[in-house]
Amino acid sequence: MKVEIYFSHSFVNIDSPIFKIKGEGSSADVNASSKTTAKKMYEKGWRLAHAVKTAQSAQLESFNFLLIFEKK
Amino acid sequence: MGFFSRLFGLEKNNKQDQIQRRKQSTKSKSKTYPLNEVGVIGKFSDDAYDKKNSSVVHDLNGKRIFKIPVTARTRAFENENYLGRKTFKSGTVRWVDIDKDGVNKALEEKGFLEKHIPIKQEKIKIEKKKKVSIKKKAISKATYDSNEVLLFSYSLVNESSPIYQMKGTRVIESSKTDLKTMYKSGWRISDLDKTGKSAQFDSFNFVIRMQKIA
Repeated sequence: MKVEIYFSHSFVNIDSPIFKIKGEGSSADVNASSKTTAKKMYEKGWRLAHAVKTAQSAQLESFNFLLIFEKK
Repeated sequence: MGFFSRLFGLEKNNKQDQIQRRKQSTKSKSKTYPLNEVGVIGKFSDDAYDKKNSSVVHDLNGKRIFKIPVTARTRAFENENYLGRKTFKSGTVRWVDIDKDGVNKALEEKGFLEKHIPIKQEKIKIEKKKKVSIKKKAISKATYDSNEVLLFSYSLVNESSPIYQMKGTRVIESSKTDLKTMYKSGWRISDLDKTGKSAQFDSFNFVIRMQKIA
C-alpha cells in the first residue's frame, strides 16, 4: 500500500485545490506546482483515508486540512 | 691554504660535527615502547638499510603502510627499530619506536600477527553493517511486538516526515522512521490526531496510530 499526504488551505469540496508540502520543520512550504484536487486523486486510484483539520478557524476560507491518501 | 679558507674549512667541519652529534643525540634519545601498547606494526624493507632509504614501511604481512611522518620513520630507521602505532591516553595517535628483536620473537606467538596488522576496510564495513542491522532489528522488534503501534511526529507534513515510536510519554529518538517506510512494511494509519494548537507547518505535532495490515 502507498501513502501520500496533501494539504489544503480550504478543503470544502472535491475540487478544492490541494498541495504537497515540501521540506521539513521550519523550511516546510506548500509546493505550488503540485496543485491537484481530491477528484483527480480519486481518478488516479487514490482514496482519502484521513482528513485532519489543522487550523482552529471555523470560516470556510480557513478550512486548513491535512489529507492522507492511500492507494493499493 | 689561506687563512679564510682554513677558517671556512674549520667551520664546515664544525657544522658536520654538530649534525653528527645531533644525530647521535637523537639516536640515544629514542625510546622503545612495549609491544602490547601498540596496534599496527611497521618495518622497513629488507634492502632499506643497503639503500639507506627509510621512506618505505611495510606491515608485518608485507603490505606498504602510507602516511607515516618522516620524523618517526627517520628516528626508527636510525635506531634500527620497528614502528608501532600507539594511541596515547589523550587520544593522540603516534608512530613510536618498538624493539625489532622483540617483534621478531613475538611473531612466533599465536595471534600476534593478526593483532598487529591493519584492519582491512572490508572488515570495518562488515562491522558497521552488523551494527546497523542490530539497530534495525531492535527497531523492528519494537515495531513488530504487536499489530498496533503508536507514533509521534513533531511536524507531519508529508510521507517522509520523521515519526518516532513512543514509550509512555517519551519519544524514542532511535526509532525514527517515516510513513513511506511504514507503509512499505505493511502498516497503515488507523487513526491520527493533531496534538499541537499551532497551525504552522513546523508545529504540526501529530500522534499517529498505525495498524499492521492483515
